[in-house]
Amino acid sequence: MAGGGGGTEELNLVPYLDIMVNLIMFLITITAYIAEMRESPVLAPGGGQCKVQPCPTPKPHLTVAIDKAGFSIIGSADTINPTRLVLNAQGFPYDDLQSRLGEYKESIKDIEENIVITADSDIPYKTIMATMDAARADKKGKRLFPGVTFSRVVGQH
Amino acid sequence: MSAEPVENPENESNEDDDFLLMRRRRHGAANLIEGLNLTAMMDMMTIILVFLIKQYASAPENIQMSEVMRPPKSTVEEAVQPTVNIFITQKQILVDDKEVLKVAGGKIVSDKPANEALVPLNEALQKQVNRINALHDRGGPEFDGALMVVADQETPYELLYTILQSASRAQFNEYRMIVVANGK
Repeated sequence: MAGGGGGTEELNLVPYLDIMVNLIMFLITITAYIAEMRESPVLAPGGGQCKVQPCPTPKPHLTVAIDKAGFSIIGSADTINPTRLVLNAQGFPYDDLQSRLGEYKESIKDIEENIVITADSDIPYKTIMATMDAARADKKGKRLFPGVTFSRVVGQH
Repeated sequence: MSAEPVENPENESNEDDDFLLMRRRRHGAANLIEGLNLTAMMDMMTIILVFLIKQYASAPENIQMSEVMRPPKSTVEEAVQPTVNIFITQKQILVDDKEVLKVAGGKIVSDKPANEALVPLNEALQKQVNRINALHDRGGPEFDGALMVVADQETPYELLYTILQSASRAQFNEYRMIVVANGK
């Protein structure tokens, strides 16, 4: 056909390729800005109970109670002295809690590494998680109480 | 005595160049590479792009954060393992991305009596347990009792505990609390 110019011309792939390269670069670089997620294990209430009979003698364990005024550390045995840590200028005294838990770990032989955490109804989850962080290991990375079981005070609503 | 013309090597060289130039002009178009064939490169790019998009979409740690869903920060270092998940935002509770309950002011909103308010949550969790058990009967992995809990950092302890207690009744006895890595 005269003047039709109807030859089969190839598509210009260069703009498409540009888009692809930009998208790939974007996806690769965005990983640096995506929040990295981790998981912190928690056992169900009663999860630490034995499943074999006869049950071995339970080890002494600690309970950390959180309320608006601070922390209370209570032991399962009478020989464990309770501790009360009140709020300081920065808020909850996580450093004090950590060092106190370290002292318990050092002083009580065969103490259970699983602690029980209980809190007032309106204590936010971030405070619970910060408490778990403080209990997990000390500043030098020494293992303290990595296991956690949540509990609730009887009668609490 | 006739003097033969002395051959000039320079002239000979010029003639050769002209000949080659003419030949290139006449036949060169067919021999030159007109452009790169980009189709193969485009295929490769498309495959990489699809791979990256699929990878990000299926990653268990790919959690969409918003104003009503900001998990707390933590120094814990354990990587996220995929399992049944429950999301506790400031407005709703979702089990495997399906809304089961509404939340307002840190409390469950329901028009049912207090002892029945958690029934939709229990049913949704039990359904997940039954699904995993059914898959196990067909050769899938065994139900390990693990539940991935993604909760907003402002969730009150009362709500969190109530939900975990409910999950405990549905045979979930190990909770993987999802947090934002804070580093040390």
